[in-house]
Amino acid sequence: MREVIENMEIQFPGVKERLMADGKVHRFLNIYVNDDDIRFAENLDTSVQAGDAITILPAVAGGCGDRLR
Amino acid sequence: MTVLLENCYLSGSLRNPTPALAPLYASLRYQANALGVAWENVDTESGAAFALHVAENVYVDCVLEGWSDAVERPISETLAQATTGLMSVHGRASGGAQPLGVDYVSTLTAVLSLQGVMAAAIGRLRGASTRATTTSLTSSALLSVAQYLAGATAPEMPERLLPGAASVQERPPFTSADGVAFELETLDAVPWRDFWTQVGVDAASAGKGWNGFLLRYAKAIAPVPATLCEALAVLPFAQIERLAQQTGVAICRVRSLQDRAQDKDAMAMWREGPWRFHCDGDIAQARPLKPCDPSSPLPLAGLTVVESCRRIQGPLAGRLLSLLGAEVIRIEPPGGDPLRGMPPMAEDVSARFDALNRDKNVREIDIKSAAGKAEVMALIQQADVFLHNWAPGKAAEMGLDYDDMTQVNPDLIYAYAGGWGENAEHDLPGTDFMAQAYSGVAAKIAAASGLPGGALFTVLDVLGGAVAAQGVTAALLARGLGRARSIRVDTSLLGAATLLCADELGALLQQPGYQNHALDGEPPPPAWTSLNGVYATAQGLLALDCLDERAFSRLTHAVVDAASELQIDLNDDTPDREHLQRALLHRKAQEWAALFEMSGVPAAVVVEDLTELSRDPRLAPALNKDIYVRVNSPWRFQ
Repeated sequence: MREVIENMEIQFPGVKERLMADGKVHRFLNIYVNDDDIRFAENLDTSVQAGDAITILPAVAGGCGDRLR
Repeated sequence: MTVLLENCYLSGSLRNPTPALAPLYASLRYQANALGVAWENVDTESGAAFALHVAENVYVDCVLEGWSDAVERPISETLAQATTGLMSVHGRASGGAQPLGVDYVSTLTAVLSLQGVMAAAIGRLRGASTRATTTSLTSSALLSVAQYLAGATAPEMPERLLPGAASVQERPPFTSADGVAFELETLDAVPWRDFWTQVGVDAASAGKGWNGFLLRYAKAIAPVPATLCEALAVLPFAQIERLAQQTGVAICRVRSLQDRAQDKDAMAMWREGPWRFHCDGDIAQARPLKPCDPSSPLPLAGLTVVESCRRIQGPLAGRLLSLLGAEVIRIEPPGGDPLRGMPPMAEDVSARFDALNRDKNVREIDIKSAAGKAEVMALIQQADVFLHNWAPGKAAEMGLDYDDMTQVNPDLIYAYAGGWGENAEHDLPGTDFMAQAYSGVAAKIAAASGLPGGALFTVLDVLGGAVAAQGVTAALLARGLGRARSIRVDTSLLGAATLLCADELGALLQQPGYQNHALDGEPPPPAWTSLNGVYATAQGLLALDCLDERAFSRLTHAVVDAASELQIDLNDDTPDREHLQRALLHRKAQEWAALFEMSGVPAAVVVEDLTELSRDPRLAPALNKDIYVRVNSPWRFQ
């Protein structure tokens, strides 16, 4: 997954910053490989095969900001 | 406590409303009292429901319709929930379309109608000739499901989520071994993963649960694997609470209204209403509100709102102010709000996001940088209102709090749409499902819906958004009347919950005029309500809602006649629920609704598929079939 993001950055400069910082995915962003959130697998080391579907979604919530942030 | 609108008053014959409008008028009276607006019980000359008088010979009428098409036919809280898709959205994760169990549409309509007349009065004070505003129960109800309707009718991969789409058991709230129902909250996958690891659930199941958990705010479903519920069902609540605290997941028990009434801040919040106003500055130096924009029929045209809001509550507040004519400048982070890309899409923007944020002028600003802060302050200098829903403490941390902004614009209205109000005694995140659980709203919905907890429909985000916009409108009116210079307006999800349960909380807090059934026992429900509810038919669901003896008598006669025609034995001249249900299974909901309409029986087909809403002529003026089905402004101004 890390390699995918690096490759995306070459094609679409600036996208990496939108997805991660300090080597980690932004806290309120979710990246799925075939419906599985990478944080519950090998995180950015999660392997990706040809034909896999990758989904990037922000967390949706209601109310005001999270005090726990 | 600042009573903002003292010397303004409402006139109308509001003391003896029809049973269907009683909850709406009760909420209206409660809100008026909290704003310091008196009540004169006289008939309005025009036949409007009520009028707001703000100065000598300056008053605005409010016309209240039941239906969006202004045709008179039976309407009530239950029928409005049935026909506008609210029951459907609530039913997605509650086992089938059913009422919320709270007077939601009535409360929301009361908020919007009062906001409408206040806005029109502001228009009058700024030189417009607005005489009246009209709103309806169904238009308000549709507004509350606008983002779900956008999701269901988006051109690209529309969501098809019908009542009963998700399991009733395998969803939050969870229940502990000692029978405590509770909500969990985190917006971050890491605490969630750590929590479930501690509970003893494998990472794959926790991950699946996370996917389902994240759907709650957008789709009103939260399917989680059964293993998660089972793992918590064998642990005592105290242990779960400890694990949640250790891993950084917020936890809140589903509390009763009685619990809420015991909180130290409950009485003050009930008395003040869902807004808290703080006025400052020398009134003599106040800049008058800009005159009305003659090219617009809308009362807030020519006024500017700067908004820095995420998610639902704050953006909806901005959207409502925009529908009243204000120019809304929406601050988004560089690159835009990530929710713009959230499917389903309507061309290049998320349909759901568009439903809450369309018609706003977007400025991308990094508000945490010095340059960004300067840019915000430059906007504030020219603005009439600033609205935000940042996390508690963030405004002060960024130097963008009330005191900072009123230094550059001493005539500013500074509004915060928060979670808990100023005197919260806890550190819970201010999100809808936490607020439902904490406030007693979840327990009330649970009791009515046969669930352990509240709705996954964002009950408080929507009402909280309306309350925030209403608070801003009240503050603008106070400015227009020369009552204040700068005003801080604080509203919260908890305040919205207090408003939604104002009658029961008033009784629990032993306020004069509010009857405490907890002390003197719940009175038996009137006989004419005995058949009210949602019934299965040969095809579709039918809602019945008799609110007086006459309606009940019409219902029983119509059923007895139909039973005789269908050769069904009802066993009695007054059918009970069981016999009524049996009879109703012989015809389709549409057929029953047509028959009952002719007999004057309050009945309605329960809309289960949201895509059907735009085909209902009774709702047509409230909807716009554009790239997705949009909900129009809940107000008309004449």
